[in-house]
Amino acid sequence: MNVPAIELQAVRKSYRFFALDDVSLRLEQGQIMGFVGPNGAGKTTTIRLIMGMLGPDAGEIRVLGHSIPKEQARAKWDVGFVSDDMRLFSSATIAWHMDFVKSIYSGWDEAYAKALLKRFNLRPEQRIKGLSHGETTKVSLLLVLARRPRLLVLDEPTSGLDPVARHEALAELMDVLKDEDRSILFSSHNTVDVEQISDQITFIDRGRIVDSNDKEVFLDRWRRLSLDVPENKELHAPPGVTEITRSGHTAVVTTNAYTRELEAIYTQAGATVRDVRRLTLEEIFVATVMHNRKERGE
Amino acid sequence: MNRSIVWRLIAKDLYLHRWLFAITIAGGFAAMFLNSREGVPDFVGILLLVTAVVAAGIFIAMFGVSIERQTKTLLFVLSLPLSPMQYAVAKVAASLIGFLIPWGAIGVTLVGLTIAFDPPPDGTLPFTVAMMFFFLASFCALLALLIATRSDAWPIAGIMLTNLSVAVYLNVVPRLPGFAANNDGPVPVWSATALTTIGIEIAVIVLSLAIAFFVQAKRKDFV
Repeated sequence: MNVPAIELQAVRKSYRFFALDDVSLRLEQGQIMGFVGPNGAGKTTTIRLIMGMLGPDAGEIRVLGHSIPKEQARAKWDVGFVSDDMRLFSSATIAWHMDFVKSIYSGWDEAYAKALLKRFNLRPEQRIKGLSHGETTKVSLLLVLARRPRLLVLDEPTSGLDPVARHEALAELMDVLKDEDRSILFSSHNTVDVEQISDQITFIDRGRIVDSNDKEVFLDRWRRLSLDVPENKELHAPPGVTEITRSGHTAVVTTNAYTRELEAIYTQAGATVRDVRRLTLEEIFVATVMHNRKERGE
Repeated sequence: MNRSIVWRLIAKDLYLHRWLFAITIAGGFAAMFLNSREGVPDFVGILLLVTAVVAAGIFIAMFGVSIERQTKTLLFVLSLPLSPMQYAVAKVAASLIGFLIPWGAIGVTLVGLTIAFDPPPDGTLPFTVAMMFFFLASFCALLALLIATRSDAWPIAGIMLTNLSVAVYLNVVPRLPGFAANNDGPVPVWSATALTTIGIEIAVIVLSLAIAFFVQAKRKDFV
């Protein structure tokens, strides 16, 4: 049986003004997990715990079967890490960085590295200090992709990239997944990117995992119903309804457990269902976070 | 321990900071050349020599440790297959080698010139050796401070302390009787004062490095 690519169990990490609280998540090999949360939600802290750069106060972290942080050196042979705020050595060239990484990892694929250079429109003799932020991110991606790691851990890798560069980067990430043993943990604010490439989505807010599931399950079960409701008619909220907003005769019901039965319930209650529509991942993300905060009284 | 990756990190630091070694060695030799010229006051050469070695120590420690942290290249290095202790070993070794290259070149030349020429009298050798070990001890203390601490204020405090200690050292130590009585003599006298001074400096070197590794071993967070 395959060990999970990433497994966190009841992980805690406290700072003075922020705490990761009881974070558990599991990424199977061959899967892409989109890790989505607002600013300060704990995405970067979680990812740095996974990479062994931070030590947990409690809980257990395993990456490709290795206990982190204790066995991080062994785990990281098969892990590629790119972060939005990671920088390369400004006075050195792209070629120097490629040689440096190549000298460490025996699995470096020179032909693939050259293909990526061409695709990302980079020249090996360019110094890092002369590159834009987007180009530096491309170099970072090149350096991890060309060594073909089993797990990619990417913290906001597409932020700062223009739409074309973002498309190129995402296409390369999709390509990585042609090998079914490879996995990606991908954190981003950009739900469009996450929706495009992820199999699984995990939402994090204020240091807690608020929901985690297959992307299709999210998209299937979330709906927004527009209803016409008689003026004095109260609308109750069956299980799964996360929000009801009313304005005169019109009501909008958001649910995370949609079935046709819900429409029947509201029709029987005297309402007329005008429209039922799916939510985008961004809408699901916002609704999940707001619902969770409301439930916790925050 | 994976020695290969530690060596690659050491080579990486030496390559990236090679211009520092070159500038320091050039500065050191310029200082010795000036010192040998007639008409140039002694203090000019000494000042340039001290500046070259002290500045090299500060820059090597700062660029190797502190700047890597501030510029977030540390994230790139820590993503490589190494443990935080391997990182510390590589960082200390690279910084030490980086400093020992100009320190050794300047020290050996200084001692060689003292023995070969007159003036300076050979009696200054114990102080010259003690002074070179003092520079090494100051460098190790600063390096340990930068590895053991993470706030931006500590490097500044460390640099100020290093500069202050150099001024105090050069004003106080050569006037100690064990050095002052023999400095003008034709042969080096390794007095108890000279040996104790060098012994303390070596103890500071060992203690500084031990503290750096101890703190790194106890630390949980590296970014």
